[in-house]
Amino acid sequence: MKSGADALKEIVVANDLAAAKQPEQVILAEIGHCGYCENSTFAVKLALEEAITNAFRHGNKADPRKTIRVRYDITPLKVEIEIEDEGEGFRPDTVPDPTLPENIDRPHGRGIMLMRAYLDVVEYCGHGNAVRLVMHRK
Amino acid sequence: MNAETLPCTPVHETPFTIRVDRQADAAVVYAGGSCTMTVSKRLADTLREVGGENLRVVVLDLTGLDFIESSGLGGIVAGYLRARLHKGELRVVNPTPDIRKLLEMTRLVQLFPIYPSIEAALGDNVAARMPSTADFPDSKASSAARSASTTKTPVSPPV
Repeated sequence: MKSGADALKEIVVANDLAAAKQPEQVILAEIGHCGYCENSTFAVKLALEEAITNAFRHGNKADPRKTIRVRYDITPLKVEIEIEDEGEGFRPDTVPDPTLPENIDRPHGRGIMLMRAYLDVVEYCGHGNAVRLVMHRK
Repeated sequence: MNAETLPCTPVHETPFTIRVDRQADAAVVYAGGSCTMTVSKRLADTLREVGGENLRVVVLDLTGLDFIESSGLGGIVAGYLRARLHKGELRVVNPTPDIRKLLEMTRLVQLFPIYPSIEAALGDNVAARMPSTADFPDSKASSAARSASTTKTPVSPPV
């Protein structure tokens, strides 16, 4: 992971969407304590759900024996989250643009685009099996 | 830190609800609460089922929906595809500003029109649909569309 990861708190959960709600709840509670607005909370919640779903489905291939690592640091000025799966990783530039006419009616493929639309930083780390999300206070 | 030992103050998340009201040649699907990653399959399954019933129109009322992620959006697309396969149409009613923004950002408004009310969506009057920024390519008109959509005032789309 990126340098500075030592400063982050870490939660490790089983590769299960219901289990992954717990770190989401913890992070959203901290965001609430830091006084972020509703729009920011919506943005972080959306990005978390997209990143966790990708880790669960595409990274860990829904394998319950695998885990999802969630690292986070929430301050009044910045939200930083890293989500890592045990998959082989991928290259985000190979994901088709879901807003192109030929892709609009595809049921899948909008998660990365939405994360990028709502957050300030969305970058893939390691061999593409971890994503770093950053939102600065507006 | 282990998940089992974490102090966790639950953050309010509205329970997801979905209900179908079937009519002669149409159905109204009411979706409410938060459509999160753990429940979005229910939305997809319901819309696929209703979309396959050979109805003239499937109306998806989003008035009570406060959150949706991309799997949920994909479920709406799946319902749209199923309805179209069965010669029907999916129409969306009254999304909140946050969800309308998602529909516009993903350009899904190009697939299914957004209406201000269930009555308007059940009718055949296409002019009753709410304007989308996708309908207005220039920035001035886009601003007008956003303003109109905020006030939920039906405005005829440009010819």
